[in-house]
Amino acid sequence: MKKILYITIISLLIGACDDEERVFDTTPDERRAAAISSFEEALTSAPNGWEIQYFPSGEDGGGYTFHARFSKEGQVTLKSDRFPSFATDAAAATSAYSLQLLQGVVLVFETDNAQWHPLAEGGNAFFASAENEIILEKIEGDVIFGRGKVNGNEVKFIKASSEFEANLENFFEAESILSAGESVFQLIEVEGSTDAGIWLDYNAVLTSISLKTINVHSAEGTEERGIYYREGGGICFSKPIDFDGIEVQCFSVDETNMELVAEEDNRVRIVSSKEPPFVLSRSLGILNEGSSDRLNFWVGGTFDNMLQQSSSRFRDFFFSTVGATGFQPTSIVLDSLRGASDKKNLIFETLNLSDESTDQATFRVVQTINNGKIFYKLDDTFAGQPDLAVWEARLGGFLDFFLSEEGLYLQATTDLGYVNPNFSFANTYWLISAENPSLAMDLFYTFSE
Amino acid sequence: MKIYSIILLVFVAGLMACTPEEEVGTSILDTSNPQREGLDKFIYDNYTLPYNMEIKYRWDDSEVDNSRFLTPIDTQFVRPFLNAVTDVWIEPFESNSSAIFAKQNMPKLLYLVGSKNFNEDGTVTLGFAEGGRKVVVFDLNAWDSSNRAFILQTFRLLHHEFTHILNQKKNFPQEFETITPGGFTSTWFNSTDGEANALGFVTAYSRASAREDFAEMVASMFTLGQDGFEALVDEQSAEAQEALKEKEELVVTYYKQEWDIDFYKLQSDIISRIDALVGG
Repeated sequence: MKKILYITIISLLIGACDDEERVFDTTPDERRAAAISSFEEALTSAPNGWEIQYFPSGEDGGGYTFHARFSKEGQVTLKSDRFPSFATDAAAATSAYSLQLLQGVVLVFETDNAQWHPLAEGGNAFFASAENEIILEKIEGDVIFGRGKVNGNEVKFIKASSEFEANLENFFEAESILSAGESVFQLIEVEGSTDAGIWLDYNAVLTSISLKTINVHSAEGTEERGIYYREGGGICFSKPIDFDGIEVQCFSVDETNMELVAEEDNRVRIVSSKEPPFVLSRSLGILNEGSSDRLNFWVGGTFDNMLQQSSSRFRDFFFSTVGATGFQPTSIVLDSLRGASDKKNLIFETLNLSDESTDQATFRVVQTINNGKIFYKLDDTFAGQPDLAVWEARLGGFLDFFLSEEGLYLQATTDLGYVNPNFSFANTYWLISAENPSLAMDLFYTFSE
Repeated sequence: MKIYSIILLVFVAGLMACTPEEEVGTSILDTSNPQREGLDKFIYDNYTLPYNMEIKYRWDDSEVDNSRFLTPIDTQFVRPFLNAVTDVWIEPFESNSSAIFAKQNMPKLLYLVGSKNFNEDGTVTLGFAEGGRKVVVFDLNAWDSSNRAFILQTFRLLHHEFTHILNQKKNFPQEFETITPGGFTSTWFNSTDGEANALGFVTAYSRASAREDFAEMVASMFTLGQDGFEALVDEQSAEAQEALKEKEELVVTYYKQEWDIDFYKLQSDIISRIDALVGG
């Protein structure tokens, strides 16, 4: 027992006096202080400030760009790309920041900043998941990589170029093209030709673009969604998007033509246009004229749901409300009617003008068929509360054409047409059918190779 | 004995052998007193020195629930809010109690948050008190001293939370729990204030527990004023009136017996200061 005791004591003493081998040349405190110092020096010394690319909600949506200047006195001045009126010096917002040693070096936005914190408030439209604290992970050249302290979403700080701050306003040019403005068409040109089988859907709030393709024969579609952020006057996706076989990461603005041009490969362009790029004619072959074929398709769900959802059978036919305020019975109009064949390049577009003050809605339909070279318009207006009977009558007239899985139906005579819309607020789906096309003027087309 | 002497000798020798050879040196941590300017000096002079209150307006996620989406206060609202805190909260208590009451009982930490605090059930938390020393106030970026509804809501919150702090030091009377025992519910938010009034509660939130009921009674009486409170009571059924009156009596007695405060006098002082603040 005594021997064990002696051996233990001697071992402890030998161990206690053993030389410590220092893995690091400096103490933990010194290393932590140095870490803060390196980030502080980097943040405050950039001559043109920093471009911040921030994805506060990961893949759910929203890539936002800021310009930031950090002062040694703990003040940060931010400009955001989201609000045109804020992209001026007068509207830049200054607030307090600090660098703290928490889980590594953490950049803390200590006081409210009118440019940053709208992204972080609960109950807002921006997924409400921006954060007040950013963990700064590493500096690589002119880039600081960070992530949100709670949600872990990506933040990238890039030393701004001398033009970056001034270019903030150009971001809105890119978005004016994406939103089509007063134009009718948002067209995607791949290798010089417009491929209407690709449909672009754009969300300014969540800064996302969806590219959809549709095949009317199989009713199968694909969708690829990209979250973008503003970059250098144009937009860039967080991950490259496949445009008909060509991968695109960034689009820049062609100010002469007001187009978005793929930076990697200028064969891909996003064009907004008031005129269809097609020659007007009726060159499709007639099929099934006078036959007893019946064509059906379904749209929507219940009336409320139909405002938000596309049909599962006919994927790209949907209704929506005007504006962003949601369901408004007096101003419901058909907002979008689209179909597209990935091979035959078909687009339906519907524009809406709604004047709530006069309780009046206008349908304006623009139909284009790229490969079929058809351009078709219909204007219709009604006033008053849109009760069911009114809607049925109006939509009956409205549906001068429709697209089914089998083909395209064009009703040339609205009085004697064979379109029978069976609308009901209670029905899960609205069945619209056409049958026994016996009038020569009622034309059915299918999509032959 | 000899063995132990040897062990001790060896042990001491061992310790001596490990005497550090280098000076530790001065700490790299900055322990000097900070230079306070502007807002920080205002807070130090007016709240930290006289009341030992820490006012935090810079973001500190350790003070709140990190699963919530919250934003810091806009600094332009800090001073107006604190001036109102002095007017409508601290000074009335100083004027109507012992000189040391405010110094002893004001929360030691007031944390100011700019945004609303949304709950999953759709309700909004306006603030909370913790451990008898800390009060967190949300939604201060909406500060507007001319908006009577906002001011009443904010000071209702502060008086509510302050009541919790006082109750943590001197508990509220247990009889309070027996007045409307059947009306308490964890789903208080499914009832309206009117429905709660009809059951003998001053607000819907009063139904959460007797503790919340007591705090709601105090906060309501302070912010409605006695006339407003009596008008509310008069609109209720005889049974509800009786319950509310009984609760009022217990509140008034609690303040007198436990804190030597004339509740009605304090109430009158607070409501007249609120009127002055909102300009009406």
